[in-house]
Amino acid sequence: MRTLRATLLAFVLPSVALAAPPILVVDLSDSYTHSTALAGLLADVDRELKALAQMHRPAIDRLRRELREAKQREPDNRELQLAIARSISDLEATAERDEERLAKANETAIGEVQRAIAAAKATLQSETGARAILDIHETYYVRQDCPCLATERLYELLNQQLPKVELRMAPAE
Amino acid sequence: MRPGEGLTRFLLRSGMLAALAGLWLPPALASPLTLLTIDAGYLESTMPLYASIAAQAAVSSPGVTAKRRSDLELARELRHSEVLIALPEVIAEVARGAGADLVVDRAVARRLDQTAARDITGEVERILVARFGQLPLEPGS
Repeated sequence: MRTLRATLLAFVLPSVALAAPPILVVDLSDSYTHSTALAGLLADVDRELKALAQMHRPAIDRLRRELREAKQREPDNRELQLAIARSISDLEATAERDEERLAKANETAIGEVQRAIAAAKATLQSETGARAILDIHETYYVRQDCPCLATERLYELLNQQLPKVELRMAPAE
Repeated sequence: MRPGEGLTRFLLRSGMLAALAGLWLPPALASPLTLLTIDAGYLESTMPLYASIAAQAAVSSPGVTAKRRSDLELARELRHSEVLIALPEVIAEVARGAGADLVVDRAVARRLDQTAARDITGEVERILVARFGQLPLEPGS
């Protein structure tokens, strides 16, 4: 058994030491389906967008209807028409601000995922001893079965490190 | 024979040791990669093929109408984009022929300290010139 161990040490370890510095390639183009955090974030943003639309749309539609009716019923009452138009404009501005808060929250969450991707890349690099991790966009050809392809492992690490990201919207002013 | 010696000899003879070594190593360390490089900027925009395509399109005759000139310019742009579309296929063709794992730009190779990697810019250019160099800019011309 000692001979076997010695043989393994003699053959295997030098091969690790002498191996050329490896380069890994990752393809993050499908991250919205492979990252559980990003897939969840996408669903959250979609739900929030629908909720925001639902929050303001009925009131805006009602006011537009009222404005149409006011124009027909009291064409000379400019004050009433202006008051309704101002209410519509205020509501639209509120809806726009809500969408901006959502966009900001989305941006913050994406930033968190990007930091997690960088951390997962660092973990991948240290666990494989790779010299560098290239994004697929930095390459012009990668053999289909290249051992350098490490996308799946990167997603495993990313999903372990950040299974979910919160969409934290700042409170409305 | 010492304990384990027979097993070692068997493993060595049957190639099992190499297989085991392959299993025990992370894939990236298992074998060095065959890396090739290209000068992407040259192949995408500055190689003489583009100048010869432009020369085909350049019309100095004063009788040429603005519409004709615009048609020729469009044909030149179209041919340039055809070359760009063919470029990844040609790179892949050369890379497959060389049994390569990876092709990157020279600048990336320098960043990775892989300056000894074989450069295939010339081979890729030769294929592109053979494919597009003699092709008329417009069908029937």
